[in-house]
Amino acid sequence: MSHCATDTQNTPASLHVKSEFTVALAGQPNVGKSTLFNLITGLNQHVGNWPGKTVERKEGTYSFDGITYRLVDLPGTYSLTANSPEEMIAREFIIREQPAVIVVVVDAAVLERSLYLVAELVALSSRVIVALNMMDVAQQEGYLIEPHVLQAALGVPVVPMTATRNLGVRELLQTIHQVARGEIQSTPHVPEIREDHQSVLEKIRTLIAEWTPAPYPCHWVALKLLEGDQEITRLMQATLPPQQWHALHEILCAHDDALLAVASGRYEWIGRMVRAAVTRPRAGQISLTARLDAWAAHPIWGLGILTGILGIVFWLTFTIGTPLQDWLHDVVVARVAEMASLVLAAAPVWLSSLVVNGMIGGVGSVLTFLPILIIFYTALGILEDMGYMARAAYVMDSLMHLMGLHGKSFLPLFLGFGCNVPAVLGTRVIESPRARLLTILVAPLIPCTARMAVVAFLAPAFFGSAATWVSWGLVLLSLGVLVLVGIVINKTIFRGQRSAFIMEMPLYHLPNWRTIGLLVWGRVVAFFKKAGTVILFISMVIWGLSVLPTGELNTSWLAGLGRWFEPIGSWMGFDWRLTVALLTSFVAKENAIATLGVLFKASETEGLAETLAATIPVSTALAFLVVQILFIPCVATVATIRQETGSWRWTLFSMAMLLGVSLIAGMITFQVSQWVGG
Amino acid sequence: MLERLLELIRAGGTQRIGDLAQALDTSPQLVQVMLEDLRRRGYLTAVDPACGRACGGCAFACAKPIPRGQVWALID
Repeated sequence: MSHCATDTQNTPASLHVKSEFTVALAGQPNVGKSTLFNLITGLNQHVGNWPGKTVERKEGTYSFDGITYRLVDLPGTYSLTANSPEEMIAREFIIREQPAVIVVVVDAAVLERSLYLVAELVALSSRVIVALNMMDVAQQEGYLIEPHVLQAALGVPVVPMTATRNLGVRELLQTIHQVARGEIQSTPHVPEIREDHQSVLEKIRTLIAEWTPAPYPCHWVALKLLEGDQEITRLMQATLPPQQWHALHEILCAHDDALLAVASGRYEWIGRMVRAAVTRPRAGQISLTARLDAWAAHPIWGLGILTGILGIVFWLTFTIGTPLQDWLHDVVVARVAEMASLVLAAAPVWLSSLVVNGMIGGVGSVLTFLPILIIFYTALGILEDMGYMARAAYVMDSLMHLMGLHGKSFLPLFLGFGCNVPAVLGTRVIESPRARLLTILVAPLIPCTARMAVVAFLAPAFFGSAATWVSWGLVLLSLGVLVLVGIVINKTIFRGQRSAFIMEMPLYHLPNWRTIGLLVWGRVVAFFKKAGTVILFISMVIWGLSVLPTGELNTSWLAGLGRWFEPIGSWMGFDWRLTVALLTSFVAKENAIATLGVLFKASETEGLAETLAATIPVSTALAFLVVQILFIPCVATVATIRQETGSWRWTLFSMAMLLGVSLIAGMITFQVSQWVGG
Repeated sequence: MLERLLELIRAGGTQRIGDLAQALDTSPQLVQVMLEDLRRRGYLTAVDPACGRACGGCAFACAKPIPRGQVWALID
């Protein structure tokens, strides 16, 4: 058994006169390592696999000042822990082959990310050179990096470069030459483990000193043991005599949290390096974000801003969208219905009615929704792309904190506001089965954007110029329900237990119109696809049920079905048509509009909006919108609840509970608005 | 520093990267790197707000949402 190998392998390669030196090229993925390798070796390269692995091995040669260098491109790795075959290959090569020089390529624009590998390499060898690549990107992002300061802080040579433009490559080759020949000798400033763990490290080092197999450096092996590196632990278990292994094992078990102490030491070191060498001017976007967030992410002002912004979104949607919707009905849908009536004048009455009342009445009503949809989603897209929506979620969470609610209520809020499906799926992070089940059951109470969009369509139809205020009130009601959900979850499931989330707040920036355009386009295409499939099918079924068997709406099967539910609907002032519209929204929320279009004969003389405004009393309309926003979620969400709970019983319970909540809220709304209206 | 970050996270609630960086007297970029490290080590999980195909082609939610910034949750 050999004695502990020299820790940092400081023997200068120049002491042995060589005509060829081995240079290892290390670095994380995507830092420009391959570009640099190709630039240096040109055509003199060979590609194969590392022995016994499927990982690609690239090797090449080049000459500098009469000396031939063998350049080995190591696999891209984030660290030198045995987490992956790539990391194993890289560290085994460095330890066993002992290259004359290790060039570690780092991305100057994300120095914090790149320096972790450097922190590990300088603990393993003193013959390290840092190739500070992508200096152009760092400059474009406004970073001021001082390579000579970084060099002094690291204690190893630092060469600034931009490999894609062949800048700094010659200087790098010169530095490699000098280090290989021993003309530059470095004493790296290596990261230190936290003070309270230093004695443990020393104890391990003493214990293994005589038994560490060459060429593994003793200090490095001790560190890796503390980090819980499985390969090194296995190696030392096989090498140490049983008594020593037992003693070592006891120490390691007593300090199983030491991996954080080792990593902490490296991050402290990275922090010091970056503080010394990098200046990030707090100008432009960053300071603007800080200034805006002082208001937008404030627990009180932020909430006011959020409600104000939502009000503006609805106001814009109605002010621009409603005239366009009327125009679309008058110019497109009504004319298409007229033309269809003329073309089908000689056809059987049922066929003409199916096309005009069923297909055009249903799908046409939904398609007039398009301007509102485009404006609503453009406005939301702008807010998202500018970086505001992350603040909206944060502010809502702050509100819950102010009310004594914490942590876990945030997750369904964050995921559920767009769509209930990810809210249900998101409960997977909750470990307790009981807590998870209860969260799944209440998650659909959070309003999804589909329901909000249906409200955006129906509010101007029912309330005309007061639509902005009504929609705004409904959104506030939704937010109120959200807080209620938080209280229910917190009091019943988590009993005040705190959970933790960390949010990355994107910088505010001007909206990218291409991104927003693509988003709106994607949603419009998906909307058209649905209008042409599910909504068309439902419209035809609704039409069929509304004319069969007598040809009269009031004596149809659908009327019979609707009247069966009428006693419940009547508590909220609904006639059977509104009840049926609500039921069809279970398949997809937009179906409520299509069904109203068919049942209120939207395409004949006037649009659906005008017909609804003339037919439905205000208190009924308000109750309908309240029920709509709190009703059983769409079929996709219900299917996800079934999948995640694995139980039909709980799925049906969830539906029954949501039905009960929405009907009670609708009844209260109807009674109160009737009482207020006299 | 990693342990201190974990302590701050374990205090509970929703925290912003900028606030954590200020508390640790370091840059938000380094906090982000450490959060990724904690995720790889199994202390945190990345929360994905996308619903993918599961939402049944809902026109309102599934058409390529704009990334809103990463969210991590502490694993109990």
